[in-house]
Amino acid sequence: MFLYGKFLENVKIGIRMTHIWSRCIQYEKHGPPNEVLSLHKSEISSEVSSNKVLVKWLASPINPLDINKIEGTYPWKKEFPIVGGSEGTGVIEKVGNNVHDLKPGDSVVSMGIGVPLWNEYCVVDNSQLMKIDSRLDLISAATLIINPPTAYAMLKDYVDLDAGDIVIQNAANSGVGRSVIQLAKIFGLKSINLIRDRPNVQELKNELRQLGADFVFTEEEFRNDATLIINPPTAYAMLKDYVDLDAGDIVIQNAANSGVGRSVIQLAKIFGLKSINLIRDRPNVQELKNELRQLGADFVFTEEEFRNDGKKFLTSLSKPIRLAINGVGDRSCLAISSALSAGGTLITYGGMSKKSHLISTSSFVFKNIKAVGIAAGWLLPQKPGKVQAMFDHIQKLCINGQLKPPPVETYEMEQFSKAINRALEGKHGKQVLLLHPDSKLKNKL
Amino acid sequence: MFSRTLLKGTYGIRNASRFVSTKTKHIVYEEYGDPPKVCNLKEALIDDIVKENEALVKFVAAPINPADINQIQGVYPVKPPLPGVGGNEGCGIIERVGKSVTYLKPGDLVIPSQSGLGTWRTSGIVEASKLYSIDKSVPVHFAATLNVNPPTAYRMLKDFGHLKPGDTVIQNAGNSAVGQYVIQIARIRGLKTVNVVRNRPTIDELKNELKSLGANEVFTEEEFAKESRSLKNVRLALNAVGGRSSLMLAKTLDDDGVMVTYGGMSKQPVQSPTGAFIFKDISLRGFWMSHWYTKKENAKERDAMFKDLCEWINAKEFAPPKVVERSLEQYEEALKMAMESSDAKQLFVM
Repeated sequence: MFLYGKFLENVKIGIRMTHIWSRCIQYEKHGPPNEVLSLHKSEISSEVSSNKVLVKWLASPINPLDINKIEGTYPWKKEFPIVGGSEGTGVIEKVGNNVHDLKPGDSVVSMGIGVPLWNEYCVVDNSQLMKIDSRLDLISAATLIINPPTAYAMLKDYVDLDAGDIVIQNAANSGVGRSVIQLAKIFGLKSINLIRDRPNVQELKNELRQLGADFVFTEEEFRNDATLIINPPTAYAMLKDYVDLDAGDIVIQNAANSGVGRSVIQLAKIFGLKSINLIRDRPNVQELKNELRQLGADFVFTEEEFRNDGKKFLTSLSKPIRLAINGVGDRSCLAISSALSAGGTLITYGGMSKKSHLISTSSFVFKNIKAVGIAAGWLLPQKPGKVQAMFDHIQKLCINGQLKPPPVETYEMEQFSKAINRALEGKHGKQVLLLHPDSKLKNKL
Repeated sequence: MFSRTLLKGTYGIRNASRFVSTKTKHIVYEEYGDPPKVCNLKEALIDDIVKENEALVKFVAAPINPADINQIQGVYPVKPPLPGVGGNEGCGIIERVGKSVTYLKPGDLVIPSQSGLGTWRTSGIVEASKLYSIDKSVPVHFAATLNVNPPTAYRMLKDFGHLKPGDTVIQNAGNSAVGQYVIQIARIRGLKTVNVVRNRPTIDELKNELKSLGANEVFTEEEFAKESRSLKNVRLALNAVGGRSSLMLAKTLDDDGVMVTYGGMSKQPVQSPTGAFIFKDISLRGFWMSHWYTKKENAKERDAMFKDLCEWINAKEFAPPKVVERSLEQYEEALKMAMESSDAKQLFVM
């Protein structure tokens, strides 16, 4: 009986060798995800020519960028209908005759955000897949490609951080944020983490501390406690990595009472540099000036005072000003960049004025100053060897339990609407769609 | 050609054959101010006593550049002592050299090796180190305008942006003297140029002219505001205008791109967007040809550069400079025209 049933099953499969049924979650136009998504079932060709592979997808998370793609606000275009999903994990079913690096049964993740993932099965090019360690658990695999590498690249590729250095971030309990916390701990760095306030925020703070966070503040707490923070990497990098400054050298900056500005003041004092600080005028400005002087500021001017008396003041200085730090733009940028001596450098880390940055022509032509920015961390490295090494490292950390995926809620495909609504509400961790029923076999959670 | 006249009484008959004087005409200014007003054409006798390290030069031709105007107005950083002779570039022929001058000889075609020489004159005795000899076969119009603009274009394309054939350079002031050399040198080196110019009634003619020099694209400032979004792989932007024009250039730069500022025709500060600094890691630099010349470590590069430029001139790779020839006597008119329009260069021919 059992054998006969198996035989029939095989015959059924035999007849349908070139086509299989696959459910998918897709949208036919842009719009609110809880309105435009629908569950479909269709027959797809399972033929795999040369470089193609048939994948059985097991799990794929709903990331913020997936919401944006569906809404139409993400810079990415494809023809409708579009199957959702940007990262995920699956198992190889069949390979084309020109595929030598993958075989049926291999566990894989998709590379690149354009693969139609919210699908039980689909045929993709083998170049769009990366083989993973089969010991990697389902949820870590499903959330492997976007968030951990972003955190990894930001911590490794932009600033030469030494053990004990401090990193500061917001959105600390997001997918990327949690990867940053854990990787920072693994790399021996300290992390300062900002989160939004919420009921029972203490629970979340404890959870992040258990992950490895050194300091956790809500956004409000941090605004009030900013003067306690000594080493944010932006200020540190600007003072260390752009100009060879000696003790006694002078640095000029605007936005002096901002988070970065205050760090610049304090670090400058620690490094033996003098700082000239510009702030916006306000009632009781004298109080703020005293506060900044107590932090270590050598000179504090309002923007107006510097415009009027700046020239005279600058001629009284005994050393050239070789570094200007700009977080404002517009005429404030013009004021501090004009104070630079020949060959000086202007570093821009922000644009609080929301206007463009003004620098005089003569500063460039006759004083040969350089204007640069401090690069942000959303450009991932393009070197393949390096990328593979990074993924190997990240997978090891996941298998060893040193790098944990974010807390997730799992949903079967038919429950996709509920998953989307939870994702849209936010503050519910990450929602992961379980696609082909075989995912239950892999999910050890 | 000297005129052999006796010096008045100072040196005696015995030495009369050695000490002769040359009559020179020069355009001098004794105070800073409006050039047509403060400049005067004066005649003088100069002693032909050429010291060891000096040379007697007969100036052949010298243009009026914007920097020359600024210098007379008193707003240029290079300020020769007053009273000063106008003009910072030009060409001349060596008449005589002092005993210890080995690298120049009579008959050599020379250009200034640095600014501040005072070239709007017929003759002068100058330190030989302030002169630089070039290929004699270079035609006068080229030689007289060889020191400032072609080298600025050459250096900016060489020293910034690590350009390879096929790369794109974008610039404003595309029809300025430097701008046109940028187009031509880029063409010779296999680089693409996208050029922004101010709109004008003769815009179609201008676009055709620049394209015939080798420009790949020519846009008015208004057209560029729309087209700029589709530009890719822009590694180098050259800015001589400032203000909104520089903002638009900076926005087109790709990752690691550089915008080099070499002039400020709008008299507005250079503008840069925040996003470009922070997300595309661009840098903004400046370039000043005069300053580059003063650095001794650039001597070899200078030789290589002038070799290239002279070869390209002789191979007719460059369109002849557009000049209006003037005698020194016409200085008032020439200065006025130089300050009003920049279509053709006013060139004193001595």
